[in-house]
Amino acid sequence: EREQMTQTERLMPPGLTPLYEACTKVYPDQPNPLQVTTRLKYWLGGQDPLDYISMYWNPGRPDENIPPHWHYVSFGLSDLHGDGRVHPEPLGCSGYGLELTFRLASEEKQPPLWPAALLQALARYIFTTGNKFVCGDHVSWHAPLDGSSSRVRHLLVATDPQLETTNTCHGSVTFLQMVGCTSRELRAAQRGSGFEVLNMMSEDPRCGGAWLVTRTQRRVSARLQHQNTQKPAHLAGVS
Amino acid sequence: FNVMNNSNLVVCNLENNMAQLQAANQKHEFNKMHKIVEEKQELHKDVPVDVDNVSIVSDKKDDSK
Repeated sequence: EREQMTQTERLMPPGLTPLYEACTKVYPDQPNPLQVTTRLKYWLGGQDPLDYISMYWNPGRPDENIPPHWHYVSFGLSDLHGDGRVHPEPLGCSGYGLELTFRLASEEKQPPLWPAALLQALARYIFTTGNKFVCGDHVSWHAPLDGSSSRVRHLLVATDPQLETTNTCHGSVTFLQMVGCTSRELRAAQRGSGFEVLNMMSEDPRCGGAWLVTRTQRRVSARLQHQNTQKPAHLAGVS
Repeated sequence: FNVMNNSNLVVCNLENNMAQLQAANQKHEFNKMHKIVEEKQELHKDVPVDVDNVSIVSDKKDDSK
């Protein structure tokens, strides 16, 4: 299997290889993950900008209250190919300089697929508008993320806790993690700071915990402190 | 199989996806395009521009003659 994977790595486009290696460092026992891909690639006229979304099983860390979950990682917002088929010539960062991730609390043996469709929709927004996400941003989705009756209906933007910013031959890539949140948490982010809401969520395992794992079945919102009007607002990440 | 009713999204493993990518690159000559881009970059590297020795050739005729 190791020799097979070396052959596979030789087939990888140059902008993908370092990102794949970053994932393999975290998941050394999953060198050949399942991926959601596109029949008709974006660069051949398709409508879905992400060439691949890898889906890794993460057992979590029970002693740190991090639940088992599926970890989704996108490939396509950064410049995978470097030949101008999607992104113009690089200027410091690779393509948009970011990829999106998502962590879904789950004990299912097969990964649910709706997060992949969610990441494709978010990528379509970025490609269509040219607006990039940054850490601390909030995204009003106005519908249950999983299409059920979930109270998790919006998203906050954080940095992925396990995937660090990676350098490729086309520039740097930051892994931004989309975090499901409730309407109450969204309102708090809109009024104050997405960073503060993320901090509160990270302190409550029911709301995400240290790795901000999205639990679509949760009914509770993070305990949000009353806004201190005398304290200057942290405006970074306002979208 | 379709992902969330989007018939363009399918599930496959990474190894198969990379093999299909290579086939698509060959079919659409993306490998050739990449080589052309690489060759262009190499060409620019090999030709240093010495501004002081560039002579300007004018197309204007000398009307006095």
